[in-house]
Amino acid sequence: MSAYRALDLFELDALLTEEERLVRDTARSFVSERVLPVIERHFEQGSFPMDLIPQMAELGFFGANLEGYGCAGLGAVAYGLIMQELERGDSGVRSCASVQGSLCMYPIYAYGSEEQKERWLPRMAAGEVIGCFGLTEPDHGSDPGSMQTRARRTAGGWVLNGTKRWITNGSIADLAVVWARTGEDASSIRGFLVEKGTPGFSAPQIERKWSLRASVTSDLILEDVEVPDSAMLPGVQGLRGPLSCLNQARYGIAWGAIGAMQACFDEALRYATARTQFGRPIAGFQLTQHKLCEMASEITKAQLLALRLGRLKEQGRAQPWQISLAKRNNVYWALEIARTARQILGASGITHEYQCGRHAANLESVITYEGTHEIHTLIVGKQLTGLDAFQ
Amino acid sequence: MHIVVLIKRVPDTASKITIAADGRTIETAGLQFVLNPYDEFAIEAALQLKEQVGAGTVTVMTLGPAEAAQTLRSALAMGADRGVHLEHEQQLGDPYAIARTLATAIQGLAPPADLVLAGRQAVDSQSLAVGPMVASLLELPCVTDVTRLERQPEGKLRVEREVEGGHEVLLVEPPALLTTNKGLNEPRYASLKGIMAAKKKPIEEPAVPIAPALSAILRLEYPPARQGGRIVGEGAAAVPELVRLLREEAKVL
Amino acid sequence: MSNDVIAFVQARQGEVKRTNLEAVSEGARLAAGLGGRCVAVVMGSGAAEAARRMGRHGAARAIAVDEPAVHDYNGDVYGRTLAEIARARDPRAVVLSATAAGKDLAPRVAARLQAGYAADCTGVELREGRIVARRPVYAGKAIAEVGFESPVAVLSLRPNNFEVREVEGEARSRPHPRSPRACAPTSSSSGRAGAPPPI
Repeated sequence: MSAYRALDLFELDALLTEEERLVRDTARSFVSERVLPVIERHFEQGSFPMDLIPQMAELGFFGANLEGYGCAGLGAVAYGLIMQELERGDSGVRSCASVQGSLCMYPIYAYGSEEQKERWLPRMAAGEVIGCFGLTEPDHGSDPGSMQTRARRTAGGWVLNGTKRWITNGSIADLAVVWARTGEDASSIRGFLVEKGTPGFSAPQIERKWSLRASVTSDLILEDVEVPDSAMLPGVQGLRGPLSCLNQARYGIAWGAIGAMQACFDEALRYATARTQFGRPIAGFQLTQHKLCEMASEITKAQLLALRLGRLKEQGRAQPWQISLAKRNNVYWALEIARTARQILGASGITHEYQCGRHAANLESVITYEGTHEIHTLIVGKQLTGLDAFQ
Repeated sequence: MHIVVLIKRVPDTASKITIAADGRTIETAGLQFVLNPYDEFAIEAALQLKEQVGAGTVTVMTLGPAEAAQTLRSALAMGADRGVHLEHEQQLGDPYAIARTLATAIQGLAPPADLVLAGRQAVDSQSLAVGPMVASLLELPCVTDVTRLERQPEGKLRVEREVEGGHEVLLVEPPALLTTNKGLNEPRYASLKGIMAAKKKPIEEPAVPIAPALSAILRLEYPPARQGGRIVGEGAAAVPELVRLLREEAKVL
Repeated sequence: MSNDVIAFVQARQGEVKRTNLEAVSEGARLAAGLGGRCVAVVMGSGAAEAARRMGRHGAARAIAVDEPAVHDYNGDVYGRTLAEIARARDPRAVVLSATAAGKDLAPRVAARLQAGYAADCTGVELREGRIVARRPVYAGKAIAEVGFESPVAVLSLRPNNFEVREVEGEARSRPHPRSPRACAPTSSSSGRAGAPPPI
């Protein structure tokens, strides 16, 4: 099969800097040569391709948008392009990088002490330490403010108790950022760095998933886990801490969804031009062309949205509701496109020989994690109306 | 050690080629351009030699339009130290003119080149000519299609090249020119740090006269459409006829 | 300037691969069209013996180079030697078969002769007395017609694309007067792992 060709109907490449294009090209080649050849097997087995971790680290994909501490110091668009390309490979691979960079390295970078940064960030950038992010709980998903995980003050530190669920990278992580209440209400939430192997801390893997199969998803169980004072992130208190991390990750997902769309569109277009029925390629039929046109339109719109959002972010002007709108739109359409691609591929689309089914299955998670589609709808709704539908 | 790598910006081989209205060139709008894949082996070989020696400079040089600077930048991002851009509005098609211009530019380099590397061929013009031509013009020993390259302690290069039915082993004493073939190495990706560092690396634009072309493409046309398959017979009895057709019509034997 | 065409032939123990004969045949056809003669330059072991047979494929003359330095193919040595012989005859074209060795050799000769070069030609014709070559480009997605500005053109011919013609006659053959060792190799072969003749 000939090489992947990304759709760029409106010459958006011209809006990227040379550096951004180079970053994108590195990530694109990496995915074509290192991710795609192995991903189907891992998805079928339900395993994460662990040997990709040192490779991604060497290329600088972890915490690429952070400055110093062994990080590349890229702009938001270049970072987004990496997420886009990784998710062209698989949402699970992109999720691993998102969690490492945006959900674990970012809070240490933004809210950690100098000692915490020096201790963890260079090793995380190098892929020697894998991180995870513990916010969601079995009974508290969209409403993290009512979390039950508690941190109780002791003489020299804290004792943590509680359970976190749906934690990407959980069982392979060396370090967990665990958010816990230190008092009665959400304003008392603090972040703690919990190391693997700490007595009372375990991270059993969640099995039997049919989505994000090439990704590790776990529970974090904390039973009287003692951590020292130095494990607490000193720079933030309240829900603002975890939510600011989620904003970073959601931004990356808005880009990642484009990668999934592109993979599905590329596959559907090839298939439709090669597959003959009634004596001609099915791409020649109006119903197929309508599907392809819709897909291409939505990809183009998603690209423009992500690029503009990235530029706003680089200027420090991106608002959380803008990120919500982009994540909501792009993931929704990515899922639609994956399903449409599957339809174009007919029965072939349900096999592992093609990617669209895997992307569709993955995107069922992506549309739910990092703020469900519905929650993002309400965030945008609040911005538009001034009325808060959460309360 | 100063290693010069000759590189070219070429259309991605996956691209659809459309002949332009002038009938002599191709449409470049909408084409994706990449660093010539065979040149990636040359860059990787240069970087490995430099790493092995522990010192030196890798200079990447290209002849081409303004956009070719991007190709130089991607080589700098892989780890090359210095870029040389011989700018020419059109992508030259004549191997001699390209080689003559590059040879002049190589002669003008300071410090002088100890080794020149080039991909065995550009995937667009596929002449396999520029490397050996440059070598001949500079009176450098030249080995083409190198699939293995080792630097010996005293500085000589032990190279292997595949020939029909086997492979040759040669010892080359720099300064020399080698062209690189698939299988020589696995080119590295440009890391993010490499890409950031490349921004600060120099791209020089020396005033080198573009040599006049000695050949020109008069016309481009599409190859004849592939013909459908044909069954020449069944079983062993059909073999002589198949061989005859393969030899006389398909001309592959 | 003569209207001659030089055709390169590699010999190994007097044997010549068929693709070399294609170059001689095509060289002879081209020379006839140009009003000149085809001169086969045969290099390698047993070159003199092989050279005598080139007349059968249309060569009017054959020059044999059979020195130890050319018994194994070496691009540097062959390039200098063939260019030197060609330069002395001031031909209109030098044709070679685009075998692995031919592709290695042709550009070296073209550079030394300041000649336009067309590689891996699938067709050669004369148009109003000028040489026009056809060759695939862009991974075979297009065919280019190439014309030449230089007095001499170097053409490598895609193997098995040109006829081998048999004619009556014998080429006037003579050994090349000067030893190719005058242009000593700067790279030396240190060993060969089971390599049959390179052409």
